[in-house]
Amino acid sequence: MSSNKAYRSATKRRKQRERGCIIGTRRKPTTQCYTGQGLAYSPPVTVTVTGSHLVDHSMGGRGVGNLRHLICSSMPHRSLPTFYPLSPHSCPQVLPFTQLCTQARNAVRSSNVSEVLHRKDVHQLSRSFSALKMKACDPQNNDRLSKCSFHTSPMSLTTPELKEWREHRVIDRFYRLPWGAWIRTQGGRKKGLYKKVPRHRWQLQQHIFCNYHQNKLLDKLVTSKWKEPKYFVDSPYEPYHQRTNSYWQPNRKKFYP
Amino acid sequence: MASKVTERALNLIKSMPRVALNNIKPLPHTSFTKKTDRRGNRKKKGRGDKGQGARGTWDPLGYEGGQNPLIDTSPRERYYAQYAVRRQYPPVSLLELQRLVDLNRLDTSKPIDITSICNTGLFNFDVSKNHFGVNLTDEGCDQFAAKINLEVQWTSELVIAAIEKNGGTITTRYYDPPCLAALYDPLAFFKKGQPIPKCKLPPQDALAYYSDPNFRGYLADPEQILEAREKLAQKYGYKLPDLTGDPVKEMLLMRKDPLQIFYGLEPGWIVNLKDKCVLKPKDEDYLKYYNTSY
Repeated sequence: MSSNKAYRSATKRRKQRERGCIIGTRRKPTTQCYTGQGLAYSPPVTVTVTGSHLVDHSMGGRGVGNLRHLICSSMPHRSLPTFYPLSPHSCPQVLPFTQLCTQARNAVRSSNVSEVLHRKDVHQLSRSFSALKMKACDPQNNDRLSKCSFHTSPMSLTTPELKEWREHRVIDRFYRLPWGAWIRTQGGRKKGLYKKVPRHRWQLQQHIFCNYHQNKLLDKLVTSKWKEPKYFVDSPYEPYHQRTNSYWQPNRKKFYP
Repeated sequence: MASKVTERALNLIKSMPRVALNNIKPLPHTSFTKKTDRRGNRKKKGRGDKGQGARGTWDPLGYEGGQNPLIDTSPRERYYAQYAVRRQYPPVSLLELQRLVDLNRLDTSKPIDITSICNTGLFNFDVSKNHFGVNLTDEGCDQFAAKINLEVQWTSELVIAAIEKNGGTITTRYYDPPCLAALYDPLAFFKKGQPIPKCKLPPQDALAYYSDPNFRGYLADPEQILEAREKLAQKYGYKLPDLTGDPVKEMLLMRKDPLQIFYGLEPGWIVNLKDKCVLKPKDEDYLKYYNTSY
């Protein structure tokens, strides 16, 4: 039994390391466990997209004014400016790369634009990743590793960079309402439903608020980017963006004389 | 008769400057001054005795003493799925718009578009934060009473009804981010000396909205828009004002070309502010590029 327990805890640790999200380990770090650290930013890649996902259909009616004919042409390998919104469904090549390594997934998540990679760049990056992994084990990089170590990271040394590397753990699970509250889903809402009463099933499906201290904690774990108001249209959480009947956070409308 | 002492005292007071903040001071011992002398406890640097506080070995944020923390136990939910790709439209209410018109910050004799709203100085957006224009909300739709030619990026049916009831027109228009940056501050854009960009067509998920006559999309059929106007008037129970005999009919029907950004300026032109002239391209390739949308 003890060997089984040791094996389970070892696999648990290994999986945590792979995910790059260890907190509060009491043991000293080994040289191999920081593959996910300091490598969250992939080297710059060229963005090439085929033009097939661009507008490729004829328009019906036009607005009042001078009408111009649309010329639809597919232009392969046209480089677009980085701020043009790209549809993620247009390029399925993203999936194999993000499954390769954690830091790539982190980099893609934390970047503002979904970076699309051509097939040959994937191999280039996987090679560079393995090279970086070898570098991490180098004794010369001990200084960098100790700074990034999870097991003793005092609150005073939490830099915005460190926050960015870790904030996906919060963003994956919680949603911030603009007035300071965070909501989350409940565990077990999809498990063992056959043995749960309908009322229990309904209860577990509700999204619930975090308490005062949890809200403060989550605000600290996350950069200010997530605390800015987001103006999505047709968002299901829009009715909850403003409080009602609250003495401490009154929903005061702008005064017009 | 005042004595010499009192006379002298009064003369002294008269010659003194006026009592002001720079020549009075509080009574002694009225305010508490903190002891700034820290020569005593130098040994612990203000960190106290032992423990995490002194040694700086704080537990990481979110750590719950070995217990599975909230950050791990909560199930994953795609709250922020596609947040970087989804478009955002900062809101402006009809009430705010009415106030801007009342206070003469907006000129109703000319078409109102996003540049006019930004030029009031009371509305800002940031292209880098995925803001794609103005979302006109229906707050104050009952008090709205302005006759305007409006161009916004997103709106709802009730807002359209409120504007058309007062004899105005509204269109929803898409601008891509570089065009929007130019529209936000045209003066700064003209100072760059770059040719006016042509506006690209909306992305696929927005195409349906901007081709819909019910939302007065700029890519919709004008005849269908006229039908939709009548239907909306019937739905909300107001009489649709007839624009045929209207003196400002021309202004109300002013629309930009789908590639055009500024009224009166075509894509490809360069506005030279210093020499106060406009440069237009003559080359065929340039003309072809700036007059077609891909």
